[in-house]
Amino acid sequence: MSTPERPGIKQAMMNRRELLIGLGTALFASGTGRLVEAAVPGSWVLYVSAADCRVCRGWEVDHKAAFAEGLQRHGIGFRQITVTSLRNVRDDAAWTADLAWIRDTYPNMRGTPWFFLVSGRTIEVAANSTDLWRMKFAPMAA
Amino acid sequence: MRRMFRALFCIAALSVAGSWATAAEPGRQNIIIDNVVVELSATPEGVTACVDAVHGTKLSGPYGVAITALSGPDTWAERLPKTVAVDEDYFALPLRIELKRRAGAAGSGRLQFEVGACQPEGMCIPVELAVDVATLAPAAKQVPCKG
Repeated sequence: MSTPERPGIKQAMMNRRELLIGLGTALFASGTGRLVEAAVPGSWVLYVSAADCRVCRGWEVDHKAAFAEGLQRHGIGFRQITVTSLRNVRDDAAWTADLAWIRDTYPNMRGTPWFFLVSGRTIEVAANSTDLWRMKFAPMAA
Repeated sequence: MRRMFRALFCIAALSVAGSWATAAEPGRQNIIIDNVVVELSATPEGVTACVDAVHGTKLSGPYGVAITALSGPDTWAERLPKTVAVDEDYFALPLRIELKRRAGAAGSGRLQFEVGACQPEGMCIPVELAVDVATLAPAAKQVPCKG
């Protein structure tokens, strides 16, 4: 037996779907907006790579220059440190005294790359993959 | 009630399949961590390790594969730890590594394999996998790495 058409319910479901899509878009936009807001002038991004990290090399070739330029336009600085091997991203030799506190904030730091948005003595945003960089950091340089 | 019977049936089927897999290859040991797979099999001369990766993960060539004897280092004919590395960005997988036992040495001890695993989400992490050689049954001939 077939179910009779119920246009009222169908319309209500369509409206609900549209409402959910709208809500999702609004949440995404406000989330991205908050990330960009976090990157106030005077803050800076620290990028941590490793000499044997091929993912890092790829990101550097494809995105680094444009990203650093974009940050600069917004008054945000860019710094980079490169550890000898991703085996030991916490290597003392690469983390200068003024940056060591960032490393110490993340005791479980493992592998590379890492991205940190730093404002004063606060880490506003952190990401440990290029996928997360795309989501959290790339909008700051747009 | 019917759902419960179905779940019980699935559990029974899985345990039968699991025991079959173990029984089928008693001389092999498989370990998977962070999408990195090490399959160890016994050979008349020592052990063969097949190092592979799944789900789009790649192994960094310059990082290499570091093999360490966590126990019984005198078992092996070569000095451990040893690192196998290549100039290419990533290893061609599966990678076959053979370790020969010293003449007259008993087959015991734990081996650790360490690799740089580059995950598809854009990060490279060190991954350590330890295997117990003592649990491997000796095989009559060498087994190929599954590609």
